[in-house]
Amino acid sequence: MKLERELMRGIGPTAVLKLLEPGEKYGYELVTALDRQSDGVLAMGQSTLYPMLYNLEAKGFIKARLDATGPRPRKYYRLTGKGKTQLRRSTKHCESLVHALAQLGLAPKTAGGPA
Amino acid sequence: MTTTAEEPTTPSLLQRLRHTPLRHLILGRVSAALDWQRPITSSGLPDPVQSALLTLTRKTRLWRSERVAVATELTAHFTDGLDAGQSPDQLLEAFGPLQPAAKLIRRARKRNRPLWWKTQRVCFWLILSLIIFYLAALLYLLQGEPNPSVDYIAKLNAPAHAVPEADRAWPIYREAFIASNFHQLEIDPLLHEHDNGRLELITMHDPGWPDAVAFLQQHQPLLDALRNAGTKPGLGLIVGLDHDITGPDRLALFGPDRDPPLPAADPATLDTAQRLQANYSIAVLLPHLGDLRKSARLLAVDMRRAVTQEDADRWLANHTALLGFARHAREHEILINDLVAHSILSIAVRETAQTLHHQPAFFRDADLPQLAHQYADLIPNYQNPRLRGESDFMLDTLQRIYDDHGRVTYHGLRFVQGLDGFTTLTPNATANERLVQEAFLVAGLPLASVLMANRDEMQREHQRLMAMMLNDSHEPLWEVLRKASGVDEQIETWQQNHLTRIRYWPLLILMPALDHAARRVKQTTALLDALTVALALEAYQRDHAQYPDTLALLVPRYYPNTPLDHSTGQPLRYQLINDKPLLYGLGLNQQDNQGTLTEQAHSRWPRLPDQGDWILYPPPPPFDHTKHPDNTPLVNF
Repeated sequence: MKLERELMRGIGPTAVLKLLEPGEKYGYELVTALDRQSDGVLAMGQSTLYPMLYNLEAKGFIKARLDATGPRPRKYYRLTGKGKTQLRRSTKHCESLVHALAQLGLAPKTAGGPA
Repeated sequence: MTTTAEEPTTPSLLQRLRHTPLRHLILGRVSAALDWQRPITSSGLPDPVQSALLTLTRKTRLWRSERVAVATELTAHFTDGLDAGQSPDQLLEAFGPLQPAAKLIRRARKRNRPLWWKTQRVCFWLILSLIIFYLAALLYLLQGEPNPSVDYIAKLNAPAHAVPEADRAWPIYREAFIASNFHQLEIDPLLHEHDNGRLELITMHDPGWPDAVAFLQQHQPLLDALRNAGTKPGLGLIVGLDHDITGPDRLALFGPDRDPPLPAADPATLDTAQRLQANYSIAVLLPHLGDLRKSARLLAVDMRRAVTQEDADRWLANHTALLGFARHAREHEILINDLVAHSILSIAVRETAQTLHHQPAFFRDADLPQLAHQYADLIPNYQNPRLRGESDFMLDTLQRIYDDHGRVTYHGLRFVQGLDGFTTLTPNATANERLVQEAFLVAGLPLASVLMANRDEMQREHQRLMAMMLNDSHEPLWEVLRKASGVDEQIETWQQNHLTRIRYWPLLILMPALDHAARRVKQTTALLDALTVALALEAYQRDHAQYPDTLALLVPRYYPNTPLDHSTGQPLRYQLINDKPLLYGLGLNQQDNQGTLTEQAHSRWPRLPDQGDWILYPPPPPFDHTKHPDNTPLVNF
């Protein structure tokens, strides 16, 4: 199952930030991780990922680094301080959303409410 | 990893140069760092993928350095995918359509561009928006046209129309002017040139006096007619533009050599510019003012001749005529007419004062109160400048600048430029010069509409200045002199600021001289006042065989109240010099210099001098440089 485009547009950047939380990743790595970790729910057209990365970079949430030491030049993305703050904020929004959906019976009830 | 069928070719030096940034070239490096196709074509990716990436990167229409970054990253993406075991078709399908991808990438990459580029872009759109707005405003403003609806020339002529036929002097003047070819009549025999080059009316002591007498005798019918005209209550002359003055009026006012008038154009055939020029009250011709002044000089010399002939009746008749000329000049309520009237009045005052000073016995006892009453009666009418005509000029101008909605118009701007002498749109301007000037004028219209006050504001400011001027004009001269002119200060303030100079442009063209001229008009009152005091002194002297010790002794039998110095508001200064009275005010410095007259004051008489006392009676004799070689003050004349 794939999310509607509008819903994906809202959740996609947060998902990318979350994937970068443990450490830096390059484009293809992000695509596969997103697909794998969300069981395909958050899989996006790969052409959508790169504009999303550039937008996050323009907002200062992530920073890119070109690594030319490998077999081919790769661009790695990592979370910035600003990006971490944004991720925390988005996480809370997601938790609130999930809680609200649960209250409406649209999602399974969780143990606690939003922080 | 999948390989391509053919190996990439090595680019030529020329191609590498073409893709090398300038800063690399300066450093001696041919880096080809801007060759965005190179990362794709040298990647070894299958042809369909390379082709898709080339298309996608090209369609982003980004800077070459940005395309290099995108191409490098996407090449890595597809290579990683192939390495992960996906086929080219699977990868391309997973990637999605190229056109939207290129659009999204372009949009996102542009957000990463440097601040200077974003600023430049904002400026570009801002300027473009302004240009579009400006052009739209220009189109809107070009629709407006002034629509003059009030005929101010008719208002100007209303007093002349109101004069009954029998009371009109103009028919008499007209006949006399035509009969004597007055316009070409030179009055040189009536003038005497002094050593300093100054021309004044001839006196009986000057060598040319016999010629002057002969001249007067030769033109006796003209003098009789002028005397007759001067007794009429009104002038009754309808003034107008060149094409309005026709027939005998034209012959009388301009002489036989004047070109015939061009017929008035049919209003329906006039373009807007011509329509605005037509019937403009400021362009009204007033040639009769010069004729009245010339007539006054003729009769003034005849008054001197009457003194030599001891003909008091003719002297008095001429004097009455001079006062009539001044009255006729004032019929049209314009400041220039008032100034000419005051100039004629000054001639009458000078003749009366000189005769009274040098030959007091010429006047019969009954003549003194008659003259005193004549002058006293004039003061209420002449003491305040009349500003209605000037106000109408401004309103007439404004109705030719703005449209009915109060907007500045293109034709209105051209009209003001013509008034200001600002434009060089003259017949001598070449077609190209005219075109450039017109272009500037059109282009400047929206700016002018923002910078120039609208019609309501312009009228409001005009009315405010006029009210201030009117308020000043009702105060005595000494009060007006004591404080700075509010109108002058306002005009000065506007002049000093570039924005207000444009904002009130028409006001600044038409208003500045008014206040100064209005003050000059008020000075005549002081002169008339002093002359009535001098006549009272002469009457006192005849009753008591001596002049009074103080002017207070004239009150109330010979003069109604203590005579005032109009320059200070204090009592008028009075001295007896060689047993003859001298009346003066302290002038602008408010110091008593015992009636001292400087050369500067002499040349400006009877106007209030900048320095020294303000001699009001008697008029000073011609300044004699041989007696005052060092420009020493003239005392006790």
